[in-house]
Amino acid sequence: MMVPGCASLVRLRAAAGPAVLWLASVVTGACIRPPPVIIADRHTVLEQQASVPFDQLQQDLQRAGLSPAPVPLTRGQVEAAGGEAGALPLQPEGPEPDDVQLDRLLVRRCVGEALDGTLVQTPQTCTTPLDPQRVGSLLERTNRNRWQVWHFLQQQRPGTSLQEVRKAWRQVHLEGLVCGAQVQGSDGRWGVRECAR
Amino acid sequence: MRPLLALVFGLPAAAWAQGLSQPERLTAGAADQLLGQLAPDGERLYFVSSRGGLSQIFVQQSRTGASEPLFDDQADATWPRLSPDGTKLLYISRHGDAAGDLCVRDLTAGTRRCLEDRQHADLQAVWMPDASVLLLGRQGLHGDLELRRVHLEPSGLRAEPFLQENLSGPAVSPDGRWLVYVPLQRSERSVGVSFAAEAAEELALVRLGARGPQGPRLRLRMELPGVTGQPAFSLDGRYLYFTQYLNDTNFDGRIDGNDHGVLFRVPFDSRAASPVTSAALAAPEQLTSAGWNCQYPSPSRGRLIATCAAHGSLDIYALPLEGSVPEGWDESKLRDELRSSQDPWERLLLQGRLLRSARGPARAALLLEMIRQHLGLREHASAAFYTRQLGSLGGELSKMAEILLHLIDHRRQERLLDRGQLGERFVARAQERLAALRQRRGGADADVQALAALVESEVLDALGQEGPALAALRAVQPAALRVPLVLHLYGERAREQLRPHHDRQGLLAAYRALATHAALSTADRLAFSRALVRELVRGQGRGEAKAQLEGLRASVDADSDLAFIVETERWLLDLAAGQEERVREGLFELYRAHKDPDRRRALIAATIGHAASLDSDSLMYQFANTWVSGLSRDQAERRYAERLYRQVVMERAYVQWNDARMGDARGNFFGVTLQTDSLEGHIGFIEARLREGQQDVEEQYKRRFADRPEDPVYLFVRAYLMARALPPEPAALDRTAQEALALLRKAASAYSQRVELQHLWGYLAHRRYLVGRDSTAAQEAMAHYLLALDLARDNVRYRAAVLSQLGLLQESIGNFRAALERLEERGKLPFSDPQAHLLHLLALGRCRFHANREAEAAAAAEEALRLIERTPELARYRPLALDRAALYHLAAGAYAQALARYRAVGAHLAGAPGGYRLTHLLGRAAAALGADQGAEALNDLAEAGRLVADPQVTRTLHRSMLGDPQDILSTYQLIIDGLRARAYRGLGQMEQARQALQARRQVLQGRLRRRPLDEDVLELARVEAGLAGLAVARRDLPAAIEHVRAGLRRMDAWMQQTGTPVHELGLALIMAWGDLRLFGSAAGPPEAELERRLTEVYGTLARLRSPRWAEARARLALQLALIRLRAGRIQS
Repeated sequence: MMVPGCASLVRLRAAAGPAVLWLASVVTGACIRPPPVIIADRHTVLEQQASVPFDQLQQDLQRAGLSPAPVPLTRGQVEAAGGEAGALPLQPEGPEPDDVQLDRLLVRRCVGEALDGTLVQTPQTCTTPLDPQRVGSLLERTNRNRWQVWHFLQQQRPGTSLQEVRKAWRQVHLEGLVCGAQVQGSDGRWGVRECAR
Repeated sequence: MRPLLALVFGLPAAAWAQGLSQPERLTAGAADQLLGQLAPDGERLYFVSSRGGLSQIFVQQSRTGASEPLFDDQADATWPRLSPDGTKLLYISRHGDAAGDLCVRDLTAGTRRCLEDRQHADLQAVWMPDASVLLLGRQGLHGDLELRRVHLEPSGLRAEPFLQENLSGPAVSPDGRWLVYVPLQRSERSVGVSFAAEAAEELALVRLGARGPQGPRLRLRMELPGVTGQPAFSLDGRYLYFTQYLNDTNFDGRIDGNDHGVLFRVPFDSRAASPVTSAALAAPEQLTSAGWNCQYPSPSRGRLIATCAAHGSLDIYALPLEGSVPEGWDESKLRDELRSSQDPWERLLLQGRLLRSARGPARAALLLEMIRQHLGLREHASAAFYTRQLGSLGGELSKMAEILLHLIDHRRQERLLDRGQLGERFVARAQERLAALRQRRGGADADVQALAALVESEVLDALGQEGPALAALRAVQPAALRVPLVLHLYGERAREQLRPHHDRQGLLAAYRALATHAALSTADRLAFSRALVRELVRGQGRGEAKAQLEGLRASVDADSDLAFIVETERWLLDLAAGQEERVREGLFELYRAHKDPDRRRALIAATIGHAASLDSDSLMYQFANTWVSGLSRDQAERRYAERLYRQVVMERAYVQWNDARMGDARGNFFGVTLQTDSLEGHIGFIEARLREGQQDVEEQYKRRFADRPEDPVYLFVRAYLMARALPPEPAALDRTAQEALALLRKAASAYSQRVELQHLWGYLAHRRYLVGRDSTAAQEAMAHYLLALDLARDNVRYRAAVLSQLGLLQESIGNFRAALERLEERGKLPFSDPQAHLLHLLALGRCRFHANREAEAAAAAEEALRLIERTPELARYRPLALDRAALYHLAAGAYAQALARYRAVGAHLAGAPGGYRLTHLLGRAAAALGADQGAEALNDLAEAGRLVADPQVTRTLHRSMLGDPQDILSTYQLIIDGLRARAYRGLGQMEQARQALQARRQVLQGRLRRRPLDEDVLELARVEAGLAGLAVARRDLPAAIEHVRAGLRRMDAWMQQTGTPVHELGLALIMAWGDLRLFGSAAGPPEAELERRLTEVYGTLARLRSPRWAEARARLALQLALIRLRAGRIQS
């Protein structure tokens, strides 16, 4: 790193072959003035020996390319480029209820309704940055509740296997899932729940 | 009425209209900045930063925002504290002692004195009014802590005992009468208190006499949840500030310094026997929102400095001394803010203020609401604290409080369960809780009964007893309840429990009961109505959803909040069917028909939310406009309406801008400047107006602000206009930029936390740096860009601009890797200006090149060329992009591509300075050599040779190549000769190659005579190696050996000078000699010198034993063995 500070610290001398890196002087509150030791790295040397600076063009481009204004992007342009344009300031701040959080995570494909009836994290399809620990904690709570419900349902239907209970429960659950939620199909692939328009 | 009241109490109307004061960020950057202290004159901020890898003490100039290390002790330094007169700074240094020494630096003289004492580890220190220091430290690793008093004497620092007690965070009142601290206790006998201690929950206070502490310790127990720490006095001694850790925000089961801190203060009367009254302890003043994590309060003359954690790093922030709630806000203002605030922590801050004076039923209602919010935020300690206050009100409220405490404890335990920490104990406690709750059954009060049942249901649910949990929930009759907290808990339970059981009807019935409940506020009923509708239509297509809503509408009271929400949602469903105009009319009709502000707000939120999801721009605009226009500027809600309006309308304006509808865009930007105080709106208006070809912008603003020329908006606009028209001539640019910066500094008094201002500031400093290369300008630019980047979190347009410019700035000062990070992040967002895009690509390429990613650098340069091809206005920059592409291809070893690009550059160099042509020719020759075009390379090198011989040319060589002209000349001569030798060799012209190398040797020898540099010695050895190779090629082995030996002599000198035991070149030379003697037809026995050298080198490699030299070691062993065999010195 070139440290702004004392003037005339760094002097470059080109070399034909790979140059040696010396330690740069340290900038202190009171400037020290080392001898005119040459400091170079291979790329800087190459840049100076084998390319044309075109100073005027460079300056002109800098003048034209720098601006005191923001970049006039629209939300559509940002989203088309795969970025996040930011939400409208409509939602109350602070922690959301678990189910609202889950709906949002399902739609953003960060979490999915797995074939076995539990919720799982799906980082490979996630479209938004998130806190894996918090999401993990949320899923743990929700899945624990689901397991308790399944055991309860199994007790209500003696002779039914837990697997059958989970399957039946999941079928009903998916019907009430938020539109656009990520769901695992019977082939194991992740898809999105479409709702009729 | 309100503005009049504001004037009566001396509060400007503008201050009445503004909201809570947010912490103002003073430092920025990815590293941590903490422990800030402002100098008495406010001109400098001292703080600790980890940006250099160590903890160092930095000083930041308030005027420019630029910061630099105050000193460099080459060791960690921390705990900076300014003396009362501001002339000295004490700190803890690890320079002389890794455990820490107290040091004091004279800020004027720059001198330093330290209390160097290996027996003590110094930890914290504080100034006394007489300029002595109280120093907290310990003796030995596991010793107890103690306070010593350190006197600054001419002969040095002298310490004497002061107080033997385990404590932390000592603070002394400005008059020296009192010492406040946090008492500590060892938590383990055998482990020192520095490593295992428990802090008391309260502060201790002791009077100080002439000889030290005297009298009893007073306990300052704040009536707040959690624990207290980090006391600090205001400069006038009238207030004691402190950090309160209110809740277990990291859910590790403890409340301590690892949790979020909230700043408070209490009045302090130094002359009283009990300086903090019980009234003050009962109602400390909350200064920061618990949504922030702020600690280490440091009151200065006019501001409170604190360290706050936000977005992954610590930084220094400033607040008014009275904190976030402006002085003079009365109850009506607090309630107005509360009604419109959407931030739960801000709501709690406001409610806490109201609670100080609330009595009777109002107090109970406020407490219940605060408890509900804390439960929702999972702030269990605070929820319990306010629940106990509720219980103290007596009657049914104390029963309710008892039940709530069970709920809070259950939830706290369950939160720990998430981390797998509790099992059997959790179950046992839950069973005990159930038993206690069942004893509450049969009481008269419906709310108490319902609360007990709900808590019971929640506990049973957690235990997996689903049947009894459901039964307990279903036993609750919401119609009989009156307390909003209980109703909310009922709604929560219904959602948590009924949905997993797919009891949709049960859930809908629960929501319906709440959506129409008279005991709830309008806002709450509307929220439950929305929840009901959401649940009703969940997972259904439009047609089914509409049918459901029709069915619901028919069954509810037409005047109810529920009916209002159903009606709204019914209209919004049609929006998806493309009936925008009809929907707009319907919703406006609904809006006009209902005057209730909560209903209107709910309609607007729902409409804009739907419209945003369907990109219905005009609907968003109309309703955002309607909302903001219907609120006066002194209403708290207006700020939220303005925020929404600004975002919606700015988006609309930018869409029009991108469609080249400048007039429409201008109109919308102008609208934003009228309705809000958005600076970006002004920028948009100015740019749109100028794009329309109008030159009257300056005049327009002059007229608009004729009666208030010092208005911060006008100052900003003037600075902006100057910034966008900076003159090209460097001195004039610098002057203009400085004038613009002066205007911005004035505007910063109102807008320091605006991204527009910080970005503009950074831009001006950046432009100054580019013309003058003044490093302080670069620092100033960096500081403001970093602040702008933090402020641009929710503004993608500014984020894009700042990332670009920060990356370009770092690239221009040579911080290539840091620049690369910014530029790559910027590259993920679109570009709207071709020149900015081209500048970005070239900078990106350069940074990748310097980061050893040569092939990727070439790819960036090629992308730049493609951009130029499709953008005629960029045509003039083609040579620049071609040259960069050539260089990066060369560096990446793609010689054919490099040569093609170099050839293309050549066409643009007619009439160019000689220095340009020289470096171009050298690059082209190197590429030609790599692409086996030796003849072409030689032509270029011949031309280069002629240029080097021309003294005029050396004057135009690369700007940064300063120094001895003879050195520069000889360097280029060396390059030319070296490349010539390679070219001739490649063409099989060995004699010419030899001559070129000999010429090279001559130049090097000349340089050595002038200035002996190791590098040149090594180069000479290389030349000899090259000559040896040529001699071998012409089969002159004795000559080859002579060159090898000459090379080895050079290597000997180099290795001795540099202290390098082994070098590849030396190994290659010695092995070549061995090969020549043993396997070549060079006559004669191996020289004794050869065997000696082989033995020496072999021994060195055997000692070093690096895998890198394994092959060489094997070869040397073979050669040595052969030599000794031939000499008969090994038994065969």
